[in-house]
Amino acid sequence: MGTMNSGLAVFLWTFRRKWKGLSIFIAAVGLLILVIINVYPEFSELRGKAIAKALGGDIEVSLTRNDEASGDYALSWSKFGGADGYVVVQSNREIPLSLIKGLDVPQVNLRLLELLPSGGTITVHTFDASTTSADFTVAEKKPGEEGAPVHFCVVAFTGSVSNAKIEGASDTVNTRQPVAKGAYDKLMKHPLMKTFIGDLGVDMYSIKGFMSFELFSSLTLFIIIYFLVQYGGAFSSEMENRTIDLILSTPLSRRRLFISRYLSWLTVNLIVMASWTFFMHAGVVSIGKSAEAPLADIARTTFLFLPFALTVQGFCMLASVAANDSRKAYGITFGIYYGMYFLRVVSVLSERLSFLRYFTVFQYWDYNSVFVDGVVRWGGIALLIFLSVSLFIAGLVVFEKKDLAL
Amino acid sequence: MGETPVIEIEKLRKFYRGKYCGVDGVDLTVCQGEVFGFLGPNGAGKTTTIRILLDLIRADSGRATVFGLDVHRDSLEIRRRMGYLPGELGLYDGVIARELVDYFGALRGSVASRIVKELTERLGIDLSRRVREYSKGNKQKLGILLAFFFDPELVILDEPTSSLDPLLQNEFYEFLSEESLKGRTVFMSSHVLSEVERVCDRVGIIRAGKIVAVERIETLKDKMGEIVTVEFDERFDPGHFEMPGVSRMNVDGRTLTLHVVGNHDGVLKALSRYKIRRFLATNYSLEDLFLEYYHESDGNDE
Repeated sequence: MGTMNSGLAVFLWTFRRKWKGLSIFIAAVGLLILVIINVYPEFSELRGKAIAKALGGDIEVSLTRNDEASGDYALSWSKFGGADGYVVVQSNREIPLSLIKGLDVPQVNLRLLELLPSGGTITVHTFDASTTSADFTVAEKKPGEEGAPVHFCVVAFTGSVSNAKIEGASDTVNTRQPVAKGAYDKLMKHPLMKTFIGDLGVDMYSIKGFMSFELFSSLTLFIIIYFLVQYGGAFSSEMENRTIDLILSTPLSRRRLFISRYLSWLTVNLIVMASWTFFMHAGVVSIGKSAEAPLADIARTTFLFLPFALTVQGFCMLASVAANDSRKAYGITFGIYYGMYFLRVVSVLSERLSFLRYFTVFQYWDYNSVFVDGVVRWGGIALLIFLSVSLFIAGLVVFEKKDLAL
Repeated sequence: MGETPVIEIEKLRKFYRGKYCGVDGVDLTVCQGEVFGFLGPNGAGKTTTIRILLDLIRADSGRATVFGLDVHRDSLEIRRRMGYLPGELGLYDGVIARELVDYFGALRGSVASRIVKELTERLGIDLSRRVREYSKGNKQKLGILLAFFFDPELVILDEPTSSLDPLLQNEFYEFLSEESLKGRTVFMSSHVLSEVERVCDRVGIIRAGKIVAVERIETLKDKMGEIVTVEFDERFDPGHFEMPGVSRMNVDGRTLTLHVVGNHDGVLKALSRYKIRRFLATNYSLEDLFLEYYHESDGNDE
């Protein structure tokens, strides 16, 4: 039997015992990353941003319902500089902006919009340049129904209705979810939305903004769940099933055992980050957006994820050495993260309590600024590193001093 | 068996959370090459003592050394030379036994393949199977292999036969006898007297965290003797039976019970003075002796 450093043996053993779970996690998250990135082109198209841009400008559209029962709506839109007037197309079906884009010929009779093949009833209303709001009544409301679906598309034009040049357009998808850019931004700034996604303030229509919103926010959650499930009770379950007794009856110090395991988990973290980089890059390449989201930017963001992930690892290890049974260890770690999430929600909802966000780790990992703006907030990163080092030391001290009683 | 102490424990004290007694002033010495039985009922302090020796828990006060080294400060050096079989053996169930042996071999630094092969054959273990497929007895054999496979100078066994059936227990006793012949020091906790009687040279009896007796097994056996119960046909004088080698006299009407060690001649001569209706002599077992120690120390406690 050959000789091997006992620390290396623990490192390999720990890693080996978790490789199946790790492989499944990497494959599942990798697939998710590829699928989400491949949704981007359709998302981008559907949201109309690209079309509105092609048309030469944006109009912020807002739709509110005046009365829940009557079906009266108030539509308002932002003033579009240079427009001679606006045409509002009202329909009980969604009006694809791409069709309006199809009318982007030098001169067009805007009355033709009534003939758009939306499959529903279409009405066209014309307004002069000074008008930016109008009230509408949806007549087709049936008894017992909340209200017939209603959609509006606001088109800014120059020239006359019968001989117009379309300058800009935006729409609402339905009565409850206005999706034109202005409304979208408004939605993003809504406190309730911020509690879910944080104060992103990103341009969701860019690939980076999309990835930041759809991927990095989820990956934060995934890394927490993965570590909780895989490592939340690592030491405590060994104390429970007594394998720790046999291990510590060998000439292996507690310190070496702890550090070897920590390094093994750290390697798992690095592998996870590398896999994310790979899958994100592959996804971006597959939709032809690698110029807008280069590999270097992706790699920098995923690897700067490490200090955050190490805090998760640190909490897991500390809880699992401090608690005598794994359920308690899981409970402690889950409680810490749930508590921090709760503080974050409260801090977003209340200006007065906004200081609470500084007590959560989420505050210090700003993937959005790193990935989208290319700005690394080193203060936050340094704080996360400090926290993870502190958790490591605390875990080690607790483990070295702990009585491993029955 | 030499006189060099391998384990030395002095006034060892450990209270869990400051109030629950683990051990309370244990003094013990185990010498090189002896098989020492550490006897006591559940909760007496056997496992606490062993876990302190392994540095799994730390004593509140007192001193414990193994090979003359401090159990806490020099724990690594001690563990390098000491094997351990826990009472409740925890193994990684999902792995193949061979991998487990290799892993523990790597943790020990270096283990001779020859010894592993010999022990595997001696114990009859199939190392190619997953640990979870093992029976309880085979898991225990694997534990024994891991305790002995690096040729340790000292082996600590914490209730090693608790999960073995009588057949495997016998196999284990034979194995232990062979190991003791090689001059290995064995410190074995148990609450089964018969196994201590069978394999140990000396025994330490612990109760409620305190050592109540440390004796050689031969000395204990000398103390065993017989319990004699006599029913007389007439009135008798108990004073006739107060003599050397007679203890624990009990008189109930015309029935007399005595514990006789050695002095059978004297007792028979005293009995010949009377007409006897019934006579019964039974062996005073180690079990009885063990209980006697307990009663005595109960009395002391009170």
